[in-house]
Amino acid sequence: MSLTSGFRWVATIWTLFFGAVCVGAPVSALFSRLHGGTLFDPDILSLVRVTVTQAGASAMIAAVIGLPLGLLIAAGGAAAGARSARAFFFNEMLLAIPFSVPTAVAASSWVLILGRNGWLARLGIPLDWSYSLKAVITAHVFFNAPWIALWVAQARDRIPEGRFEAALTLGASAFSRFRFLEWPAVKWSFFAAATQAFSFCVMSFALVLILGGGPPVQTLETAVYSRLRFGTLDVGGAAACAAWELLVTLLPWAAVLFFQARDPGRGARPARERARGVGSFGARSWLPGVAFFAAAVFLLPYLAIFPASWRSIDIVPWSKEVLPAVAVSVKIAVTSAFFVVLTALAAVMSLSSPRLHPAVTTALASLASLSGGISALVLGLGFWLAFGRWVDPFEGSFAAIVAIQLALFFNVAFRIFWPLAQEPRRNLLEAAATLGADPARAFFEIEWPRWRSSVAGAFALVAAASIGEVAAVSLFYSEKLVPLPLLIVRWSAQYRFEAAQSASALLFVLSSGTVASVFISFHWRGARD
Amino acid sequence: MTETLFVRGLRKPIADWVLTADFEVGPGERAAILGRSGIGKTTLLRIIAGLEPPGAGSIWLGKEDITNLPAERRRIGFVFQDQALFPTMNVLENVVFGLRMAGVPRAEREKTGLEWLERVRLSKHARARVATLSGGEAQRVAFARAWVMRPRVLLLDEPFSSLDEEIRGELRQILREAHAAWPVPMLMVSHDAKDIDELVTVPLRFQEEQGGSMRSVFRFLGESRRS
Repeated sequence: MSLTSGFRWVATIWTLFFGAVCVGAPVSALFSRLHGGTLFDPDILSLVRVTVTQAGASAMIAAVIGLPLGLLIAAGGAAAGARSARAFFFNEMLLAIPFSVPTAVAASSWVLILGRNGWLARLGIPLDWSYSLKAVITAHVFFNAPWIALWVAQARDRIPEGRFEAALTLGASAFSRFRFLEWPAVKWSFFAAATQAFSFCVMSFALVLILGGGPPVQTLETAVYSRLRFGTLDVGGAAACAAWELLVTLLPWAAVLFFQARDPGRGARPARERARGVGSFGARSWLPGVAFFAAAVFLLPYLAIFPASWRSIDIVPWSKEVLPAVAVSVKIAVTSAFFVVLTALAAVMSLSSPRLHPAVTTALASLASLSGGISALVLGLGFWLAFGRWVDPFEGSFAAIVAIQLALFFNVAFRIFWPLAQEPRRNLLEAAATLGADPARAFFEIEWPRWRSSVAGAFALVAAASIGEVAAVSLFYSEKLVPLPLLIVRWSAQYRFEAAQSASALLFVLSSGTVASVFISFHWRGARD
Repeated sequence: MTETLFVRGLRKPIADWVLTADFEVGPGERAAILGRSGIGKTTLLRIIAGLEPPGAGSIWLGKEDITNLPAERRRIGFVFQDQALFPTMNVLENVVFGLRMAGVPRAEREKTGLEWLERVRLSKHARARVATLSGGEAQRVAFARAWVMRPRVLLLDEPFSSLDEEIRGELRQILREAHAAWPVPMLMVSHDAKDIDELVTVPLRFQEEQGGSMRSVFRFLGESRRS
């Protein structure tokens, strides 16, 4: 057995082990606890209705804003010159940061803005949206519109300049350029991002818990939590909610994959080549500036916590509660990120086997991405049901938190690594072999320089997402295992909003700073290479 | 020291046809494999380089049977059709890669690398990223990279394709000079009549039999044009 095939076997075993323990067993355990009666209980069906309404409205509004915003950002970056290239990178970063804002931070910010004594009320705008569905939808739109815009902008940015120029010489109007050039190139990215936004809204936990105010707005996700952690333990009801949630999140995904597979133009991914200021927005010198302000709008609500946190800085028990919580958060984030990167690399390596039929590889790669469509609480409940003999949520379990986050964030790293693994670089490895490099050395000399920034990027992105994740930790925390986002949720529930806002500001800096540094390092490496 | 390359009784089934080969290329000889596109020329070079298993038969360098030797231990220089330059390294790092793998100290390998870049008229580009090179410059880097490790055999897979005639002429000259300085067996694949006319001393032709299911390369006894 060669060194490469030996590694591939180990990678395959590890990937299968991950799939079985972190996804397969929990989901199977969940379905084994289902009863028809509970599944169609009127209370649970009403939760399904609220969840679908909330997620559908949030995703639809975000999509309506995200599509033109993405095209605007790409057009802003497409104006000629290095300045616009920098503007595109900067605007991409602005669009990515809101998505990385921990939900606990977002919730604190929106309480500050929409609350009864919030900023809007003080400005004389009579919007009492606190603890309502409107507040939840608004917060979700601010989260997801930039995310959809980011996907659209990146897809639009890949359209070669020559196509627009050819269309112009043929007399195509702005609308025709959108219809025949931009839409076909961005539509699957748009649908995928909108579907993802819908799933995120279904799975949203802390935002709904804090902004929905508990009973006034309850979704399937918060219902799973309340059936397990509050009042009488209702495992059957929680399992029914979880099963519905699984169905609601995965069905749209399956539909997108199905229709995408039937579209003959789906594989058209031209090499990244910056188009120059032609498209549905035309070529305008003011576009980069407008694009910047449009992207920045979605960050503004979160900046609201900084003045508030500064005022309440003295009342926060920093050393007694906040710093130990930060230590727990960092420990969870680093461990989760390590295992996510390791597992995603193993999965990519096993799926790159030349022995696999291309159709099987595509199917397995799509399946690997689906784990991101399962919520933390659904996985957590399944994990508890499957491994309850060893893992008790009421005792707290670091391993369970890491395992759930591994399943949650696996697809983030997998989506970063998979395109790299698909690029044909076999010729370079062969060239290295003819120059005397053995397989291991050839990999580290030739392949690793291409992978290392992506590995570091994936690690940092997962760590940033993990540090703000609150659902998995809500299920498996103990008094010795309270991370920072959970502390913020608890303080919000105890009406200690000032302290929660200060801790939120710290969490915001930790997670968004990590994401910004990843973007800057990618950009720096890209410029250098 | 240079040795003769022997390809003996090679028989490699590929899809629905079989490639067979039986020939040798001596020190200082420049052989070309001739035949239509898709006939198996590149496959033959890859088998000699150790990038593909030969099926049956053997490959010898002088008195050493290298049939089962891994590619990285054959010391056979290969100039790839697409150059296969390493994009994360600069020009000089690409050129000295083989010396680095052989454990040559940094100062020595950089000195040798710069000498070779001088020889291929690229010394000004030593620290440039390979992505910034033109097609002709990239091909010269690929030549230098293959030559610098003093290979026992040099294989070239359509080294001048997609270059204009002026650059081809310049590269042929560089190749002749380098080969005169280090006269190892050289085997190339080319479709260009001028390459064959100006460079090649031993033409090796593909013969198709049984409706193309048997494709053979062999050297007619004593076949060579000039040395």
